[in-house]
Amino acid sequence: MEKIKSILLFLLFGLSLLLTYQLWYGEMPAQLLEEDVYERLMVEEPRPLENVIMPELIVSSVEGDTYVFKKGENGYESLWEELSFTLQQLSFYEAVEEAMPPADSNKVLTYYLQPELPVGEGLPWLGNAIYAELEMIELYTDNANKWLVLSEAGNNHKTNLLLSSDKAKRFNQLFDEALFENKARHTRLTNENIAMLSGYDLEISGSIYVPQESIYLDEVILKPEDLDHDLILKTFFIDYNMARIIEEKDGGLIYTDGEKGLRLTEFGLEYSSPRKETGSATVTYPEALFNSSSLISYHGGWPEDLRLDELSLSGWGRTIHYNAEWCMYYAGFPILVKQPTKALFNDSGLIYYTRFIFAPDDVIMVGEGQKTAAMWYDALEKAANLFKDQASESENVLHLEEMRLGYVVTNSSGHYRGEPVWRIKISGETFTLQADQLNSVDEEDLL
Amino acid sequence: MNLGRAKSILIIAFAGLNLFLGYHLFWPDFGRLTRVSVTAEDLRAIEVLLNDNNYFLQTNLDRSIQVSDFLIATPARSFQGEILQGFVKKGARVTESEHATAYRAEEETAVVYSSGLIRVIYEPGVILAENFPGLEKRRLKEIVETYLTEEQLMPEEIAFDYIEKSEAGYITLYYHQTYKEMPIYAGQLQVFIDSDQLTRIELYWLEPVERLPLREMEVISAAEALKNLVDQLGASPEPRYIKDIELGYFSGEYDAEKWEMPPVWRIMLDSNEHHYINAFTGNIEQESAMPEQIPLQN
Repeated sequence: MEKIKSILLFLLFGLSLLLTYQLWYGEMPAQLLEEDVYERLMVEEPRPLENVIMPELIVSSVEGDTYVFKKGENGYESLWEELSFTLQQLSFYEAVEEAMPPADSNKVLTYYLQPELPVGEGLPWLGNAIYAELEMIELYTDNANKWLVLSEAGNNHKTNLLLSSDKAKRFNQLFDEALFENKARHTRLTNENIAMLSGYDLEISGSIYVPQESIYLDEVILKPEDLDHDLILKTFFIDYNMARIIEEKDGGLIYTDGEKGLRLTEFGLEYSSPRKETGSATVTYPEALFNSSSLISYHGGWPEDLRLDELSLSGWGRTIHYNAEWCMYYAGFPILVKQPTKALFNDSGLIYYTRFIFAPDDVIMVGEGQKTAAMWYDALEKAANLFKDQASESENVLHLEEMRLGYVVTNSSGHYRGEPVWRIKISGETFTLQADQLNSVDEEDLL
Repeated sequence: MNLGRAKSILIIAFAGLNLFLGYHLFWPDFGRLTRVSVTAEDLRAIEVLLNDNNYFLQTNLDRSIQVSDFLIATPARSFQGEILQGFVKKGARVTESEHATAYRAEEETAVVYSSGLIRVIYEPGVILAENFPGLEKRRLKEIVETYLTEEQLMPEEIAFDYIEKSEAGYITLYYHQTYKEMPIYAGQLQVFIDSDQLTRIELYWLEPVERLPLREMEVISAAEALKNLVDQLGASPEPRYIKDIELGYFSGEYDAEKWEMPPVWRIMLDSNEHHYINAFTGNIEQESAMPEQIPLQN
């Protein structure tokens, strides 16, 4: 009897060890596994509204010369922060003036705001004003005073604000010599100054500024953004156990649960949830701005040099959505990619999202180091010729919609390179020309 | 206290401990033995819902709780290679276009699409038997399968699915792939017969790589799958009959290296219309369309 008890005790002891081990280290039952996926994710906080919008251009006019400040350039941040801070502090009704700035005052700064800046109640800027969306703000000055002239988007309504002396003084402090050090003078294209391009009837759409003198662009090696694929996956699929994986021939990975799909490649991602397409977008423009910030921060983060370039409402039929588009900037020049970083969203959530971000890899100089960009009139003439060559029907008047220097991303000998280019858009057609030689760059070769 | 009594106490203590540990380890599975995924009440409720929307259940529902996992698959390149090798031996000319390659032999052409789909076209058609459309289904199936086996076009692990006959005399036989007795609905063989001639075969075959038992989960019930189908299709204007509902694997066709297939409930309606409901998420899975374009002859 004692022997049986000993054997039984030994077996029970062994079994208890085995069960304890299994409970501690063994596989989880399916139900527990399902519950475990709802983990807390550590993602970037969305930017506050004050940091969502930045001007497209800041143009300064000093003693007859025009200088342009763009994202990533020295002086851009301080000029914008000063205006943003002033608008946050300003009491609208105390500052508003009926009269325009006097005729002998000078316009010293122009802020081009794309996307538009929302101001008014409940917003960081001019919190006690009536709601408006501003597309341009100008700073005028004379010997005694400074005025801000606010231009609303979609109408010609302008509002004048007189700055108090202390606020005016803060702007004065920005205009030191260092602000314009190594800055190239620019000119604003007008129908008159492009009339010299004989044989073409060109009209300017919008405000286009081009360098008046030679511009040197670094040729840089770029690196694609290093995304945490595991974290990205979790931000799109609450229960990623439900998502299945498709390995593409080019090395890309697609995750899908049959309703939405996420494609991860070595240099970006693409997401779509087609069922959400049919839906409305009822949130206000400021809410949409904040939502765009939340989306990009949650799904990969918002890098410092990435600027929100566009936020617009678009759609067709019952499909209405906001379209947000971002672009990376290096030293004031956009890094243009074939598939921009872009989000379409409506009240149902995120419909479509692409994210392809390249940043300079410690600004490694290659080759000669810098390229001298061809002058704007040569680049424009080349683009107009290309337009004429490929146009099926001759148009009487061509519209110059965009003209800027930037980088396109190419992949050669295992490196991603930032190739300096002129990007010119004429009557809906975009032309990409090598900045120095003005050879046409084949869009198919770009990333 | 003597040793015997101490042993008895320890035996009771360890037995209690083991019961406690066993309960925590296995209680969901204990529950599974006694639970059903579709109760009698669920069954009545789903029948009412179906009938209200003009759908009528004509099959039994599997009421047990089932678990499943993802199945990793890749296009069956080796089987594809064997078929094409046969065409090369017959002296086929090879022409290529962007997404397909054609192997043209004297009276038959095989077109291989980058997704892995093979389409064999017979010109003129192959006469399989006298008065072929008049034969009974079993005999018709036998003749087709014998021919395909002789031509080395009949894969292993295949199951006959259904047959369609049109008034104009077209007959189509549908087969699907199986893996360890589970249907793989994505792997398909379709045989097209015009009057008494075999005119075309379409084969999209997969090679199961492995199952992922670590991601094994309980699937939604057949009743829930039916409810989701009705939710997404809406009420039918005409009475529709649900002929069959079965668990298997399915995915669209991908031009990819390999991919995971989720378990699905395949719901077969009258006139052989079928829908795939993802058995994990409950979403309808989309069936990809077969490409139509054949590469031009050089």
